[in-house]
Amino acid sequence: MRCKNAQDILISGGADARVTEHLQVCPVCRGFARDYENLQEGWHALAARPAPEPSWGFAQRVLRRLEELPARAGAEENFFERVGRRVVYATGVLAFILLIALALPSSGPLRGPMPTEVFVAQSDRLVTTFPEFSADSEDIQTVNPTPVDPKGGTNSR
Amino acid sequence: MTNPAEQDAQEVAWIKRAQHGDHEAFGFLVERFQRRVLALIFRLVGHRDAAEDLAQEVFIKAFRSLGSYSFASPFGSWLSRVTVNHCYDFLRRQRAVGSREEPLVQTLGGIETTRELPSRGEPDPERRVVMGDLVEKLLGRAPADDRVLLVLKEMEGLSVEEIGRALGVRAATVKVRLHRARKRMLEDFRRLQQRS
Repeated sequence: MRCKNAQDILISGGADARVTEHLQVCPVCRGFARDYENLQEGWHALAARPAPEPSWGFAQRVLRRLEELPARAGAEENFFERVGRRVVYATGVLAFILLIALALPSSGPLRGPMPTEVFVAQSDRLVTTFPEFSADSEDIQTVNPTPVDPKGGTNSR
Repeated sequence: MTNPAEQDAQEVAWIKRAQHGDHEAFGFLVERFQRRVLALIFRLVGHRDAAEDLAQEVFIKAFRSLGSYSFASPFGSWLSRVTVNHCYDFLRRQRAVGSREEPLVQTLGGIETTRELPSRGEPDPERRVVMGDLVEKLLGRAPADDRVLLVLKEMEGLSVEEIGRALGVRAATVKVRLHRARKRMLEDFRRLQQRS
């Protein structure tokens, strides 16, 4: 029998004749078996220790807590249990990230200019360079047409 | 379906009343099972201070889920399942925040590890205390999964099938996990022995 097999059988809590034979000739597995027995003894010692007693009025405190909790809290708890806390938390995180993304200013470093913004900027530059293209100058021309020179001809500057 | 006769008739009546929201009837159930629940929590979690708070939470959880109890198993077993699952979540949360991550040397600092363990043979109270402390400390640094399995098996004496029902996994899975958990704990124990 190989040591690994013998040790696996020992850990599983069973020791048949083959394991016993192996232990007689293998000091490594004998040490392993001794340690395992020590550990088992520790378990028994721990199990034998008395557990704490509930403090006085424990049941009353449970009932008080039950009465204090609103009915809605129970529904929320059941929902969390049913859907799974992790899924809910993950959805929350995703929603938060989405909100942050939407709240970022459009001119921020994380977002490039939109095509409409480029057009507006170009229009502004055009007006600055050629004021006669501005809508205001057109309006002025429409409302105040070029005055006619009484002597004939147009009043050109 | 559990024969109601197997359960105390009074207990069945309390359960049915509590299922309809009767707090007083549930209070009787709490009185009856509080020691058992607290003992199980104490063994699973290992903290005396946290045990009572957790026990309160378990009973509140049990009251809220009482509608799902169909008398298919004894009420005590059902309540144990609720307890184990609640403690399992608690241990995992604790592990997640890293409060139990301690190096072996630090964990075992409180135990006299530099001297030989008392030799086996005649029943020796001192040896039992040392071994019990040692297992308690090793258990304290074990992963939540290992801890729950080992406590249910080695301290509560549940069968592999019962553990499977409590945790909602197959018995074969429990067997494999239990084997690994025992192996890990024995490795920790042997490392400690080599050091000392």
